[in-house]
Amino acid sequence: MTFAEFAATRLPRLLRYAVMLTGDRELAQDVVQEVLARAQVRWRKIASTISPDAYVRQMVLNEYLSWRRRWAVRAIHAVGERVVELSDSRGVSRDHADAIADTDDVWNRLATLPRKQRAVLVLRYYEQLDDDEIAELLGCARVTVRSNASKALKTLRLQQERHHLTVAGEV
Amino acid sequence: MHENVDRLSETFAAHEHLAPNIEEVLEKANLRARTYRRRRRAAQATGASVLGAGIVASSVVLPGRHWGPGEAVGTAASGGGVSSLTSTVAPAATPTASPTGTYSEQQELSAYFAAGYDYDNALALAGLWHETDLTQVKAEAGLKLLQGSVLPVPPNGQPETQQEKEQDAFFSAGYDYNDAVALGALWHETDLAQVKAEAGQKLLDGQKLPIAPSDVATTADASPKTVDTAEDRALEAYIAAGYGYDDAVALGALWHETDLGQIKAEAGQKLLDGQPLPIRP
Repeated sequence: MTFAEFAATRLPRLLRYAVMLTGDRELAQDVVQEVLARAQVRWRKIASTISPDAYVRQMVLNEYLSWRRRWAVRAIHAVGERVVELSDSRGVSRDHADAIADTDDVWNRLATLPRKQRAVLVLRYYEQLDDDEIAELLGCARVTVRSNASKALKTLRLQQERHHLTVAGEV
Repeated sequence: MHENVDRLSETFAAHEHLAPNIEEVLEKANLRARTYRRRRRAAQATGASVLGAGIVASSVVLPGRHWGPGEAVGTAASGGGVSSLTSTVAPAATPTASPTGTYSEQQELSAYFAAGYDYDNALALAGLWHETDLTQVKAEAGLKLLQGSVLPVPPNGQPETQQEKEQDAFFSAGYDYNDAVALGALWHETDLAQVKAEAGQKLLDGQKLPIAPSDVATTADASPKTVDTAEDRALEAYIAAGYGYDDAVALGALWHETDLGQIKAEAGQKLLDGQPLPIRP
């Protein structure tokens, strides 16, 4: 497989994967650009691996986890990026809009997680990997994966409870 | 909590629309890859050990041009170290557009330098354009020049000489010092600067050279046991601990390993893992 063939067939999925990890379009773009540039330079070697796709995806994950650039955590969603805004513009029903607003809310809360915890959730619930596979990707023990997932989910739950209390005027 | 767990997959799927534009990502990745290749070539031309794109990017210093402090290198080094600054002003560049109607980053950088712009100009442009990557600034400026636009700052220097232009063409086509030696043998020419100039002129004229450009394979490419960032981290740990080139040579002797880049990476990984090395820095 040439690099061009790889890019043509795998890049869309790779970009979506990076978006899930970073939670940000620009950061995802930076991460993937950097990885693709490096991959292109050493493509002969990567192409000779059993799965070039897995190799590059691992590069994306590592790049995300070790991103040196200062993370400019902007206001989570830029104007027009919120799913609910897109749905409003498409004239969807109110109930559906509420459901979509919920996904925006979860997305915002995901942005507050430490990178490794978020990565575990992405690998589990977006990539649909089991904990053994995640442990291998992250280079850690299975128990560490479970620990990170547990902490992440607990954080999300606490944030959700706090959000509901705030909405109810109890805080 | 279960509700949250169930909603995670839905949330991820609902935000796939945030994925960046594929063409834009690929174009910028290609530009960056060219920079990395050039830096690797430059490192090879100066005899440096190529450790990885990220490391090379921060360590290469080239002769032959006046590069500003900390500036990323825009072109490969000349093995002959020729950089004649004659008063002859070369005719305007006539770059060749790619089949897609765009220019390569090398063409853009060449246009930038050929017009007499330098490091200080790039700094000024970076300030105006709110951009911190000077290589990108120069490429962007070069593109504007190629498109016939006028830059907001005047060039500090004189337009590039013909000899410089020929050498740029030689290196930007992927040829290096070893290729110049090979061409010199074919052409019975021992003056490598002359060889590169003639070869560059042929390339500018659209002619092919009798040999293909050297591959850009590197020692780092030959043995990537881990992906880039892990390798970079290991190398940084190695350097941060005070180890250097001589230490790598000593470790290589102990470990029966000749690839210094690999030795440094392995040593750095041991340091990161909390393991002591058999020698002190």
